[in-house]
Amino acid sequence: MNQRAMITVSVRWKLLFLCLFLLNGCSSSTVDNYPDRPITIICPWSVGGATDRTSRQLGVYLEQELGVPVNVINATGGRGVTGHSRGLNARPDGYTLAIITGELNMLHWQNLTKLTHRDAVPIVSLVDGAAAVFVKTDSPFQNMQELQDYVKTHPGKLTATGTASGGIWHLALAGWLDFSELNAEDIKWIPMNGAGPSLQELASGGVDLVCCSLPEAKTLYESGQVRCLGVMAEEPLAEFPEVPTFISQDMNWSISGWNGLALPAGTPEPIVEKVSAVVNKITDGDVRLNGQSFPEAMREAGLSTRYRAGDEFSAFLKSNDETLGKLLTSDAFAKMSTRDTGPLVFPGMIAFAMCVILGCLAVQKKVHALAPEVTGDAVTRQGIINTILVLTGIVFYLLFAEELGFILTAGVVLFLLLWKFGTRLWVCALITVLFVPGIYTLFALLLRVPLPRGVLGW
Amino acid sequence: MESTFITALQNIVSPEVLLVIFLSAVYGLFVGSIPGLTATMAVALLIPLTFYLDNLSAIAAIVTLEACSIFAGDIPTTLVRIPGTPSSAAYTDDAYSLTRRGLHETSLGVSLVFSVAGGLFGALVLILAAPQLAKIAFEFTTYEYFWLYVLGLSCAAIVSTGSRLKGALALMIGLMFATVGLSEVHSVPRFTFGFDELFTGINFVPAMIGLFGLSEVFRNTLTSKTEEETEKLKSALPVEVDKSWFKHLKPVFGGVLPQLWKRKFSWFRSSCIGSTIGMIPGAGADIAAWISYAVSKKCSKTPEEYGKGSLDAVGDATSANNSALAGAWIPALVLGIPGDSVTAIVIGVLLMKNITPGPGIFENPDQLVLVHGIYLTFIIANLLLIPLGFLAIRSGAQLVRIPRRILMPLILMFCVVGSYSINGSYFDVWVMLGMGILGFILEVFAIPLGPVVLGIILGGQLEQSFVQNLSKDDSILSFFNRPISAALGIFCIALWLVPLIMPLLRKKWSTPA
Repeated sequence: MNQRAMITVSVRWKLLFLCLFLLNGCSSSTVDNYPDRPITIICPWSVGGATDRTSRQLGVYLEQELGVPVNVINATGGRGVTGHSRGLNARPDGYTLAIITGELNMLHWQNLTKLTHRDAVPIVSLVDGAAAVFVKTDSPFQNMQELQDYVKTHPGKLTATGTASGGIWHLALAGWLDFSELNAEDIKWIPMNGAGPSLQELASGGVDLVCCSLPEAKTLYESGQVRCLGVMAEEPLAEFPEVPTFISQDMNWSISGWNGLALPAGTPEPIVEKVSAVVNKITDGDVRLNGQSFPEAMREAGLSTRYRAGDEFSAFLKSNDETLGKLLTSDAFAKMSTRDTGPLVFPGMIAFAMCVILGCLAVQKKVHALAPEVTGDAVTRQGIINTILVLTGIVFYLLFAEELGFILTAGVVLFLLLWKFGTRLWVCALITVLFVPGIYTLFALLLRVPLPRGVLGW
Repeated sequence: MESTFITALQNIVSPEVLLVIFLSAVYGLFVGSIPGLTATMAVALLIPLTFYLDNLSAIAAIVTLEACSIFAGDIPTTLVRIPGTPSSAAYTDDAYSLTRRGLHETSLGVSLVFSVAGGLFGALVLILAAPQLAKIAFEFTTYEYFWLYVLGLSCAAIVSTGSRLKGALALMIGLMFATVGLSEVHSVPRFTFGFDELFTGINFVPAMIGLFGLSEVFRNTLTSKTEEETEKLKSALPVEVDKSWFKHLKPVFGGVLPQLWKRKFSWFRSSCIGSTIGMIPGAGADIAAWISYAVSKKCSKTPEEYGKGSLDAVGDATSANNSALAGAWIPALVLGIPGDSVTAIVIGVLLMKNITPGPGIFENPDQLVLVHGIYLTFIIANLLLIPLGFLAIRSGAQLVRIPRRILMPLILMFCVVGSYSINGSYFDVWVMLGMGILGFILEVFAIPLGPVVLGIILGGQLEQSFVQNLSKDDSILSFFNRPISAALGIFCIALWLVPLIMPLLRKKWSTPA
């Protein structure tokens, strides 16, 4: 729930909740019978990508092992800020699991969030995808050395993409340039929102290079439309043994993007232990679904996994944070992140256009030409009261749904609105009794939307 | 080729697959007809279940669901003026005006028949042209995308009812909302006012629910005429409540088939536009509907009816949005690049099922069976839509008979749950509330709402491609340096300039004479 809105809930209401809570005997959220309701996994990246695939694959195995529905929610955008915030700031009751990715160790260095890996209880790391450099098949570059030589003699000529400016793959390429004693801006970085669109841009001739992980480019790579010049891994990848590493091309540079499962900081120890035990069983391959174990499924999807459990994952997070911090705060990178097209250029253009249009409308005196449909119906006093009731109803729902649960809150709102709009009391009651549990069954149980359950557990 | 097709046919007519198709059709019709639940959401919610299905059933379920929910979106659009899915937003005013005249069954009949016809056309395009046509879309770089977005947005502003200036203003409002959040191309959060939730920006689904749904609730509650409105609608509806379902076939289908025959060329044109737009990555059924609506208005003999209840508009736009669905599968299957948000999910499902989309999919016999299965499902789903869609129209028609004092609180409930469901976020409900108030105010000033929604949807991508183009080369001329981008760019500019210059030219020509 919105934190700010929560604060406004008065003490009196809090006492009421407390009473309800005590009446209910705290049955809904004890640690012992965890889990007794659906679990949500927050994935910070969009549907179809490597992180999403990992989340959903894991979700299915977790669902089988824990015996409750496991939903994946893609809270995308803000370069991962949104998803990480939602996952790690969730109520630490074990019903919200967070998928964390390399960006967690980057965003706070770039002052985009205060969130760090210390806000997470790491469970297990899952995917470890090393960065790789791709060119179109008809490109003259055959290996990294040729590319490096060309950039040295023609700085600023080549364009590359793979993710947003300052994203993990941008960092990987900039790091390599820095390692080759070149300037980070010697290859122009075109910001794109993900590997998919970047690869398409490469194939259509819009950019010269793409830097992303190998599995993300699997389709185009295997169909021979792009060539991989090298992968920034310490050893050749098991799934792609033919691709040379940077190290084998005499460039001692490796970096990878990773993802893993975590719980919000403050989750009770027994729940952490239970989740860890189940997840470790899944990553060990002891759980089979349709005759396939989780590691097998991941391997077939072309995702390179690296399972680090508990403390090992913590240690990795810490060292990864330091490495990325060093890179992000280095001069080479800081200089590069300034862009010519400022963030307010586009909104400025829109605002200017708006002013021009409003000016034209004012000149034409058309601003106040009311819609005939609206003017046709007169606003009445009862109408204003009804509208205020609707507004109050929504706000009431927003403030109390999390505490009271969907059925109670929605029931109260629906009943009062129907009644105030002039429906007979028994009709109101009938509709409320039919519809609210109906909507709940449909959405929460069948469509698996995580509707608020509240103190009563429904 | 022959044998894989027969295998696919054998696989698909098995009772299990047919049952899956039937259930997903019902689910699709249901989700689509509830305002605020989109086809994308329906498919996303289906993913956990696809794990338990075999490959063909999983894909068949998605295809059927998609086709049915896009049509079903027309039902609330027509009956209560709330688009069930974004793809119906283009012709909301037309469809609802028809309902006010008591022609809702005809309008929905046109929606259904043209949807099916458009869907079948899209399937045919998918079958015949998949590999060849995808190559064209594959030539698109950020320059072509930029012009494509400009084109889509211009169409929305130009075709909206009322003055072109107000359409443009609505568009700018939408674009402004699109700049909220952390843009993918800059590392600076804009207009977030310290809310972490705003980093993602304004999600267009709750925005749409608010603009169209909640503002409609406000319009109804603010005036005491709501009951009169219901009475008016009731009196406009056919008086006799006939228990025989067969007799109701006539108002729904009567005259629609002749209409389809009469408008076969415009249907063909709209369907072509639909499948072409569908194929272009990132542009889905909603943009297809807008563009074909605009073209339809331009080519129409009665453009003044558009926005005030034109059956031609409903038919053309709805053929386009349904044919776009199959079109979107072309780049998804051939290149592994999603054509729209549903096929983005499909690629994820395919990969989870260990099928890698790509040209290879047409060579591996096992996977070719699946591809043929997709073709067949598109045809079956569209044919199944005829009886099921009819039933949905019949039951949906009861919506207008419910008194508004009961309907409005229920719609409000669906608005709240629908905007929450897409991301499970309370913040989206606040967005919906804010947009509802905004939508109401804009309607008072007769500013169209459609362009606002499209601005929010496409604004981010427009800005991205704009910034990307500038970071490649900061000369404006570079926007025209590739043949396709030059053609698209000149077309867009002409679209805005011609109506401005025409009156001047006419004056010049007429004065000497």
